[in-house]
Amino acid sequence: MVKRFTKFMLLLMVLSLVVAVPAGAQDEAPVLRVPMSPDPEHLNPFTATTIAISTVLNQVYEGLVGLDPVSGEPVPRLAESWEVSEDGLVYTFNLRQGVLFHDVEGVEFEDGDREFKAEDWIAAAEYSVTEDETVSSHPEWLESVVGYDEFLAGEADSLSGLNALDDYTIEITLKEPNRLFLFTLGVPGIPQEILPRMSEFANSPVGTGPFQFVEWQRDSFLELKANPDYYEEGKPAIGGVRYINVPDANTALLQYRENELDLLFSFPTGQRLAVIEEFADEYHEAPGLNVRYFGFKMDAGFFADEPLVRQAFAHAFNRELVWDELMEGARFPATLGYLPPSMPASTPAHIYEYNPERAAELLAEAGYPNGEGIPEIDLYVFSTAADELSLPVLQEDLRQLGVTLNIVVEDASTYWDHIGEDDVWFFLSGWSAGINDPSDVFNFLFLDGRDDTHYNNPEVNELLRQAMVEMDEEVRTQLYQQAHDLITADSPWIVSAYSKNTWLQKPWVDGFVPGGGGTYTARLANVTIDTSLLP
Amino acid sequence: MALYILRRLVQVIPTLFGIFTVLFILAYLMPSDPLRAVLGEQYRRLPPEVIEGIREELGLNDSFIERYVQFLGQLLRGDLGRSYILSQDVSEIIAYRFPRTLQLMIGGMFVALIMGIPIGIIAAEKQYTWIDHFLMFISLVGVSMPVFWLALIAQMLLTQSKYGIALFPVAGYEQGSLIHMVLPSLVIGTQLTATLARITRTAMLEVRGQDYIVTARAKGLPYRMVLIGHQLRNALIPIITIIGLNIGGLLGGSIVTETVFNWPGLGRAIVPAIERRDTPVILGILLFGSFLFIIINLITDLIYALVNPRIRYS
Repeated sequence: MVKRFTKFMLLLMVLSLVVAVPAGAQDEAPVLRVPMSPDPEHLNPFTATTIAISTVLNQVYEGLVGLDPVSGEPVPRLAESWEVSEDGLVYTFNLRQGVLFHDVEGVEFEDGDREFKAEDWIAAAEYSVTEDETVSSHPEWLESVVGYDEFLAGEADSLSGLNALDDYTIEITLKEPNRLFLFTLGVPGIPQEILPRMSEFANSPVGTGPFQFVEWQRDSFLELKANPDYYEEGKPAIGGVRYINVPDANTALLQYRENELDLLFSFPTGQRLAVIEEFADEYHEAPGLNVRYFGFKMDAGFFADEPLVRQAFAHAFNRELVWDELMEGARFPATLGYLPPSMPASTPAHIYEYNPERAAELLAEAGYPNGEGIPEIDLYVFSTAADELSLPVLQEDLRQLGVTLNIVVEDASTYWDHIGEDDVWFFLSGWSAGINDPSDVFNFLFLDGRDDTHYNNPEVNELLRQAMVEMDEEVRTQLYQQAHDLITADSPWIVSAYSKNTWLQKPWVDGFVPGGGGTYTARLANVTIDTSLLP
Repeated sequence: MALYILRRLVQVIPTLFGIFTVLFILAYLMPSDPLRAVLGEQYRRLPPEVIEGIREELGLNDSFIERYVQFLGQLLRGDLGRSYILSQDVSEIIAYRFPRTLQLMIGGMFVALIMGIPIGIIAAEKQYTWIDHFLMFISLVGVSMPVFWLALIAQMLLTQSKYGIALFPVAGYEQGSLIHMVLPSLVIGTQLTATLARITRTAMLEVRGQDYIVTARAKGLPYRMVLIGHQLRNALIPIITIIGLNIGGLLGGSIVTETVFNWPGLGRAIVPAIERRDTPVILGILLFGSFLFIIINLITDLIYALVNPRIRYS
């Protein structure tokens, strides 16, 4: 009996080992194993609002144009070319012919292979314009198109600015020139017959991208395989992508070390330098598009009428000490202005360099010599940033000025809901731009008092509005430069740092090039794996 | 007996109703706006009037009573609702994750049973010898070790060729294969192993002096039969109580273990749901957990009667 049990257990173990071999391991082309955390909430492109979702959908869906990860400029995808009328109002897209939708289990097209055509794109575009968030969270994709308002309000049956001239030509007419139209045109190529059944396909996408969906085990793994019909010759060069959900940074590091992952994006807190030293040849970094800042409430509380105090605080903060030394180079200290340095107009007229003497002078000028008269300040921080060393450094820098700073940690949901309130005068925050353009920072944080600082300067608003419709690149940059200078003078933030995309990459992986937005923007169709180097 | 079980099962309903009400009040009182979580980064990109429209549509502007009645009505129809954030029904989430958590709990229980009880028996039999002291010291260490630390050490020593031997995969579920189950089961089962060892030892010692054991020995029964058939059987009641009580502990301990070992269980769903104020998921999983706990308690009580014929329910 005991022997039989032992045999049974051994058999079970052997079987389990067989099951444990990754699905793609027997395929000829190797599969790229990528860590992923958190898990995507779902895989519906119309309601995609998080990086976790975009990470996967960027590989599965394509729009008319894509963004080149390096230059950040629009490049052909489903449209192989496009023309823009002289007045900047009419865009004509010439679609690629013969692009097939993914042949995915559970989706049967009437005529077998199903080709992507202009009508599919227009149907998806109209589907995205709705106020019903459960259908689409992205009405803004087509905000600048003629007929948008009528269609959104339900007063028109179709979006009059969209026209399919034939199966392979789409014409889009804009209300006014918009230099960023191509950058924000997120509508995916999706078969129009599945649009009415989107909820069924919310977790099993069907697109035209270089990879197609295979399987998703939530919080475990998500598997894509190379699209055999992809239109770019020789791409993808890998058999597929296996996103492995690894919530714990330490576990991810251990898995990377044991070759269970080909890439690693986050390093355990406090081990950054040790990791970089251990994997010196596999470490890569590139500037990102995120800005970290401390925001002042501009329309309520102590700071609202104290520009000199805000400027003094900005001069008092030792960013270099925090980011270059204490945080082991996790970000670039913000030694310029409010924009990531790769953006146009990113150097303002005044720079708040670390200068405690100047800070003390400004405080005295404001009527608070040695900080006398300044109330105790509460700095609100979301819990995941509670161990960021910028906090004790700022606390100490301000103490030197005679100002007492209390740090109030709130869990992320409470924090985000709270910081817009008038009782929060000072908070730690950040912003990730999706494209390398000042508008993607300024329009959301400094226009019409929309952000939690409630910064609202009519002069700045006017400049930003002009820049939105300005097609001349040079004039546009000048407008942003002026706005940047005004914002800097008002000092609604202490800019802390600019992000750095950092990752480890196994020696056999090549062609992984993330854009400024983050490692998730990398086009995995360009990745190759040199099998001769595999262990 | 059947009547007893029926009565206990009927009691489940008001208990769950009470739990639901308390949980609902707590969820309602939690500060913050779930819409931030639903929309993520997009929240700050959408115009305020669109945000307000969405809030209205999700019923987030409804009063406490309206929302409570609506949730309760759904619940009575057997509908646990749909996650605000994941495109999934709560029942779907539980159906996917519970078997995986259960698998881990069974693994942990298996480890605890095959290690904890024998250790306790040996320690009792070798009372006050160095073996007893050694085993009890080890079990003290086992009880005291935090799960996350133990998990980390297990990973370092048993998955990394740099620090130990790479015997097992670092993490992952992989259809629940045995090889992936070993480390998380060891980790999740360690505390219970240690607790069981200590309880078994005490219970065995208590029973050892009883007359029926002396009688059994005196009538010449083999040592093993006395030890297992008489002594252990009579020591089982406290052991079963501890096992029953600790199943809830296993469920709680699984949150850390699931995170460290990339195990897609219930714990991995509840933490983000709380962080992101996904009320239907929070309520659904906690209600399900409570139901499970009540049922396990009932089963524990019924097992008492099985192992000890002197206990009868009526």
